[in-house]
Amino acid sequence: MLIATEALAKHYGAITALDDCTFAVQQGEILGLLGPNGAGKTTLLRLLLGYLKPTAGRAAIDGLDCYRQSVEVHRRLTYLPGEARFSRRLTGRETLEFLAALRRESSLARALEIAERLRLDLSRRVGEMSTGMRQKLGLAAALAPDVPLLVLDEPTENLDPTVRGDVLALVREARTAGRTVLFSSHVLSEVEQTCDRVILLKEGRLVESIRVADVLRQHRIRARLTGPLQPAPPELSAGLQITQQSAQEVEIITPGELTSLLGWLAEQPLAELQIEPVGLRTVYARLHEQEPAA
Amino acid sequence: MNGVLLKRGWRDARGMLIACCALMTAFLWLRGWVSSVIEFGALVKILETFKVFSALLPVPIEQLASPLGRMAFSYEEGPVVVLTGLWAITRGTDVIAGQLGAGTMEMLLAQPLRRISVVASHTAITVAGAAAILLAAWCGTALGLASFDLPDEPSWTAFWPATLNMGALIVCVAGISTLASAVARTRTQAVALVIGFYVVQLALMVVGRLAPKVAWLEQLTILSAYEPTKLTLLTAAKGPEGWSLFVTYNAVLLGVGAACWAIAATLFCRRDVPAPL
Repeated sequence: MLIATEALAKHYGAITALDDCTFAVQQGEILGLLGPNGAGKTTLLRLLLGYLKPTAGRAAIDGLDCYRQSVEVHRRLTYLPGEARFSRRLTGRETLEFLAALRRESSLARALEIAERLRLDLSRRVGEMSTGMRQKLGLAAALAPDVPLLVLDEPTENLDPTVRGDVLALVREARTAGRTVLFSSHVLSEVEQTCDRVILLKEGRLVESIRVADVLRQHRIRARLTGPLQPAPPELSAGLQITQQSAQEVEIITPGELTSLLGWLAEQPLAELQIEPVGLRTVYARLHEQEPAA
Repeated sequence: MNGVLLKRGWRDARGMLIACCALMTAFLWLRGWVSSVIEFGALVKILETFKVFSALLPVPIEQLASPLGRMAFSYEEGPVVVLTGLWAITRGTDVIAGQLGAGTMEMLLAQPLRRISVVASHTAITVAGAAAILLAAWCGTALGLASFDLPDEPSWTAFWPATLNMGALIVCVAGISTLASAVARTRTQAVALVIGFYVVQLALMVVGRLAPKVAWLEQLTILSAYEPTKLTLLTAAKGPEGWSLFVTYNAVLLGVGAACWAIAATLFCRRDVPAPL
């Protein structure tokens, strides 16, 4: 495991920012971090970066304690905060040169290449850059070093849709290169497109860990019936969640492939049928009680 | 310490340092002219009528009116105090709270850097800058003496106690500012803490000097160890015999500064790094 936390907690007096958080991330995995504002996502990332001292529990990256061995941990990761801020007096190029000089694992050429791909004007001073441009600069700095772990906190915040696509492509390339990515975002569609697995946080607690592929295989079937629903054959019924919403309306959540179920559905007394993929939005809404999400 | 941070720190600080040095040289050069044209005999008579004011002076009025005293007193005047304070407080409050508030610390600490090396590199630039300001002050004094005629003109070399005492004050104030920076969340908070501390120190010194019954209050303030006029006159009059006070005063200032730096570095290495506001 590249990342492992064990009963990790952070309290500020009576306020619990994170509590009893245990999870692990394998090498080469892209893990999404989802949750509403104040759920503990940023606290979790800051604990992994060694910026905060845990109140209880332990966080380790590559077997190293994130707080006590933070310098060694930082040799193995790069980080992009939600809003990247750099010295306002430096130009974009000078910023990349400065950050590249601070770590052996970094490559200025690679950073410049990413900046060009993101269509960033490096001759401008940071103080004259828009928030989106500074975020691109942060991405170029974060994606350049050849390290096993990328920690990205809402990396597409403030970016236009075209550049968002480029960023997600860069994240997927990182995985192809065998790197692990911890990806925090509010944009569920991006998480679905990019992540292998998602952990959901609510009020400082890890409430669910799900594989994105499993969620995407699930479908919700809404049907209006003209007669009673016949029981599903035993070979199909495993994992089916059937909810009779009224005498005429039923909702069925399928665990996987839909093909085998279609024959049985065709034999039912259907007046209307609606089939849609479940997606993360449904899972997120169920856990967070209709919290608005993108 | 980290070479890349030192280079970066120098580039960030050089503008202000060059301005401080230029202004310091210019003021002390101009002060040479002021000392040469003002009739100090008349000034002494005026000051003697205000006994309260005399109590606040670092040395008796007749010593202050001497050419050496007049020039040495320039190290206690507003422009010099403001310039040294500007350098020390700006640098000291920037190192932790300044970078935390600006959000640049977050990116810096994401690199494989020890927190102590961030503070040490910043401090090294501050101390080197203090040395440059001292040199600028001494050059300004020497230029003033060379450009304008003073009766019984003192040698420019006689001002080393004042210059070094000023350097010790910069180290002390920068250390206190760094400590404020380590406990504050923003630079504004850190500056407010330092200014509050300075006001209390100044009040203790003034009350201690004006009211003989509570003269001991003066000993509670670090400002009582900043006596460039007294140290210059004493060293000139007594030679090496006058050095003990020079050593004591500077040891107090350097000791307080170094202790504050050490505490600040310890606090910073242990504190949480909050998300920028």
